[in-house]
Amino acid sequence: MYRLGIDVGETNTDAVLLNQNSKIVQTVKKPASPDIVSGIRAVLAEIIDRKKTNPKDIAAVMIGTTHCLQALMKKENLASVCVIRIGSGKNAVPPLFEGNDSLRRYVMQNHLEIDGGHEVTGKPLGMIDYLLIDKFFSHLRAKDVEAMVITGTFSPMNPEHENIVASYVRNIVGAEIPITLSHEIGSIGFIERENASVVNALLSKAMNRALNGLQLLFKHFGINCDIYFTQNDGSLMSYEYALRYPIRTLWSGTTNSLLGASFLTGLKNGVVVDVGGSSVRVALLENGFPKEKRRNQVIDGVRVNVPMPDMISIPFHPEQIGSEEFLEKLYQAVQRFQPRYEPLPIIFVGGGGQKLAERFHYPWADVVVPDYYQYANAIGACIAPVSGYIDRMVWMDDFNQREALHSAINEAKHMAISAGADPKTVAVQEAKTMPLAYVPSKALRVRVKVIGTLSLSSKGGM
Amino acid sequence: MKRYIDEKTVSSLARGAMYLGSGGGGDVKLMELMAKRIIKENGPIPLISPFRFPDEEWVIPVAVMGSPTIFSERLPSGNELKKVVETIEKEKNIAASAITGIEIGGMNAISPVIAAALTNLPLLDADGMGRAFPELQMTTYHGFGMKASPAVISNRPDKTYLLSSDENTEIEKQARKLVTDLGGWAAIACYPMQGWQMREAGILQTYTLTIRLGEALSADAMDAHDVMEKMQKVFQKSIYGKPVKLIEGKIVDLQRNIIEGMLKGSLVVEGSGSYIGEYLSVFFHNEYLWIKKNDTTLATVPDLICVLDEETGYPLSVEELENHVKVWVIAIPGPFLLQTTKMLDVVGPMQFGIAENFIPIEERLKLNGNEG
Repeated sequence: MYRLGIDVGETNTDAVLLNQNSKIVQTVKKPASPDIVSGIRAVLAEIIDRKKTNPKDIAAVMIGTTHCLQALMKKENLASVCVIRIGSGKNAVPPLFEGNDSLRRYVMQNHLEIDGGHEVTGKPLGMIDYLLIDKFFSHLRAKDVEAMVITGTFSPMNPEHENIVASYVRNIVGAEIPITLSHEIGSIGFIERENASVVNALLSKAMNRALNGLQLLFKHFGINCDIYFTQNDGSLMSYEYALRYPIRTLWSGTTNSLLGASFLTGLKNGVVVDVGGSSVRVALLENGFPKEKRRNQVIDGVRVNVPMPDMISIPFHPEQIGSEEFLEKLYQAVQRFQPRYEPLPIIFVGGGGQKLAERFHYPWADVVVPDYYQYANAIGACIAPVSGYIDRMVWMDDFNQREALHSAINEAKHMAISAGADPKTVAVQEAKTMPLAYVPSKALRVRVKVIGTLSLSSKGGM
Repeated sequence: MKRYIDEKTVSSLARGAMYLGSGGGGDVKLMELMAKRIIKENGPIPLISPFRFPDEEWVIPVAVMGSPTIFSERLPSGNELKKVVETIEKEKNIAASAITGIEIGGMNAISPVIAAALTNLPLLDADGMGRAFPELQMTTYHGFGMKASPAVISNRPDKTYLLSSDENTEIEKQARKLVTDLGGWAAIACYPMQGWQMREAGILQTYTLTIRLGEALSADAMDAHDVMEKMQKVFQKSIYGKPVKLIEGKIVDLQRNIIEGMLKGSLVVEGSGSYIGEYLSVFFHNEYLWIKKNDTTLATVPDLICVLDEETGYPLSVEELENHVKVWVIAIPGPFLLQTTKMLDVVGPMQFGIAENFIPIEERLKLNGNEG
């Protein structure tokens, strides 16, 4: 049985075939295409048609792609987004207020604010006025709307009103329009959660177009196994989830390079330099996983509250490889991730990894270029784990902190297993509770992440 | 020279105010965005010197009290802040000539800016804490004999609540209960004062200083080292004193509990580099209050304590603390007014249950000699 890892990058589409002992048995590199599908067609043709791999032997396909990140940066195929807010504060700041105009122009100026949402206790704040929703849509040209975002006050505590409004709106806009619900995207902090949800909605169109025909393509080559996508934290999600949550693929390229670098070198800690076609990304491998950015998470100038890896991206063209100015920038970026006293090894991966590493002088720690460095991203996708992640608020009227944490851990484990993790391998990576300051309250934020390895026999899919 | 607060100044003010939160005071970002939106619509706000404010004219201090997290979910419209000012004016039958601050540390550096913009009044350059504190009587306004009453509270534009009592602590008690009943946060206006009173009881020109601090810290790609250097430059020439670095290292223990509505607990920092082998404990009740090394006290409230993220120089709030994060712990000498006997009776270590007399950080360093 094989795992097929595919990395759809900006310049190349790479594929790697791993056997059940995690040995690399095949590697393929093809020029990238503007869509995801034709690049994948080219690598599949090589693996199945030319190298005569039996498609029935492929047990799982994992795809990592930077397609959405590129769409966002180039402002290509972004959906025009209509925003609904359910909550108490009217007219605080308009949606995507912080964004630059090139992004904000995709958010329809006309947005709807209705009463409702919940208290910190989870109790409803007000009644939903359906007439207001009807009236809003009667003034809107429905064909202008390509995606919807619904954000409710304290939806991470109680998503009920977001769900109710979503199903009402679904009847008005029809089944084709993607609706992003904020509680599925971000955590506490209304504006940051709405921002993240808007970014997700903006990307829905690009993702939909890019994946159009993908499943048929795999069937055409006789590959009938599950298709997974890698997400920002390095774990896998199903094809359906990738369509619904394109925001979760934004930094998967960087994450894959970290996991791949770790796999290829056997190192659990190090600074990883991923040399791509138009940028070099530097990030930190911490205990085998990407170091997460804890604060000030920003996408294209907009603050969000979703997990993302801490990384520095430097624009790069291959002719810059000997430029002192560029090497100095790279050195500064590496230094930011180095601990003050005991420098970590620096691992170069990606297409230009070897060439750049030869010119990068760093006397204080090892500079490592592993075999297969140019396939690190595809390998990272191949070996990605399955996770269960919970970040929500609870009101502890009936149970104490430890029980709140315990039940969140169980739920996260369940999520991971239903997403395809082998139950025997599921382990807690992070579990914590955080109380709120300044009011006598029983509100507690619970954040839990569990991971496990993908069970190749299971037919799960979240 | 007449100064104005425009959109850019709001960003500097917000950045500077984070460092004066002493671990509390709430996230400034939402307030900053709201202020920018309103300034964009209504124009910049004049910032006026307390020394040029007429004796007999009225100034009204405002703030938002309650949970910053709940505030970040149940968004305000800003009009709550306008409403509380107008209600006090009506209640006292006065016309305010300016708005001023209560708490310069954290998000409440900006709530007076919003109130000023919406009421078309100038902002008077002062506040009553010089940092962040958890209660309404923990102000120089209270310490120097001003009445918090009549106080007005509101968390939606159509409803206000009037609180009156001769005892400022009673106002705090009533307000805190009301805020909880109202859902977790509310705008408040209290301590209405005349110009001469304000000059006697306020900590003056803290807006100018905070903006200057924010401007100094505006460069990109900073770490704790750069931030400390710039803070020292700004604070040296101010009513505060020169900040002192007490340790750099890693958070190795973190205890946080809610006790009577306060986030209480402590963190332990294990030193690294030239601090190797040292351990420092920092105790907090919503704000950082007390630093101990073994049995020796290094700093106490009302001096300001900051826990800076080593990598970015960002000041970590009590809610943002995490185990294993690399930090610098620093102390900033508080404004002189907070060190007076009258104020130590309100915001001294004893008021927070710490059985220590207040000794300014500069003197403690001398006392502890080469040990510190």
